[in-house]
Amino acid sequence: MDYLDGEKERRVTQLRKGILELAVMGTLHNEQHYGYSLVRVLTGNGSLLLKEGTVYPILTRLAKEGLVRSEWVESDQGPPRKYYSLTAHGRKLFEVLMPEFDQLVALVKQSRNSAKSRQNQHLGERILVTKEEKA
Amino acid sequence: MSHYPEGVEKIVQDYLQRVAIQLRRFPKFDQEEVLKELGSHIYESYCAGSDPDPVGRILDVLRKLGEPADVVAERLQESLLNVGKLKRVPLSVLGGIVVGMFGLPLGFAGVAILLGGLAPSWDWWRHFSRQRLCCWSLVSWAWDWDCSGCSIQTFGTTWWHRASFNSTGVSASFSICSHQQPREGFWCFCSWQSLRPDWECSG
Repeated sequence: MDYLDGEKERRVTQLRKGILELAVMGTLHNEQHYGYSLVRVLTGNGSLLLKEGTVYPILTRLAKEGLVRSEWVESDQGPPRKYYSLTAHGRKLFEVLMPEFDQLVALVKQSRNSAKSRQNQHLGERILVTKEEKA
Repeated sequence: MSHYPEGVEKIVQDYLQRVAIQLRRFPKFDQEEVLKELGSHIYESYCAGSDPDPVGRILDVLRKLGEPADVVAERLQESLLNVGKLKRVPLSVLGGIVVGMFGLPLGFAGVAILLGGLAPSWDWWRHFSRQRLCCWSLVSWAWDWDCSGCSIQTFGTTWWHRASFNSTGVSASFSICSHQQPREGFWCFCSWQSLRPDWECSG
């Protein structure tokens, strides 16, 4: 059981890594954010659990690749905030990647549904055989 | 200027100090940038917290942010990769110059082909052999004024194909090196050498 838990955690982390980058780009596609506000949006509805610190390396990487730009803005209440927004290149890339992602999700859902229907069919056949045997 | 109550300030500084230790391999500018950004995040998160106990609230903020080693780990991987990339380029250029210098009495093409033949037998070389060979050969060909026409030479698993030709005042030398696996390893270099009055090409 422990092994399965560990395996699940590793897989989920792997899955999240790729998707998180896209989610960050998607969030910045709509409006600019500073790190904390971005984390709030990403974890807002509680569907995504993440260590908040993992967002910053993603932002740095995207900035190095020219997909995101950043600027420090003074804040009235505390330390300055570093605001991030998508560059034109980042925007274009996101619009290319989104349909690819949708396709992948659809593919996974489709394979899952067909596996379920096969399973149901198999179960139905077994029930039928059992009934015939009893008769 | 402190934004926190005294006890909380100490906890935040301690956390940032631990992050700073993890960041010691980074360039100074990056270190400052990361610490400044994390400081900002901690403050925002602290202000948004609901725990009435300031110490409990800041500990919750830091727990959600992650351990300093984890926060830095992913950045560190990328940084080390970049360091490798930066070091590789000057080494290759230096290699090209050395080959060029030794090639002076021997003929640049000869040295390049010799190195190409020896490369697969050097273990330390294996990972970068293609890139370095090509960089070296680029420099070598660019300096090689000998125009020997078309040639294909095989040394071990390395193949060199060369074609040189010229017209009045403008000459071109193409060399293609396929190393180890021909389908993957084709490289094409072209060095244009113009206005060379001493050119006599027989190829």
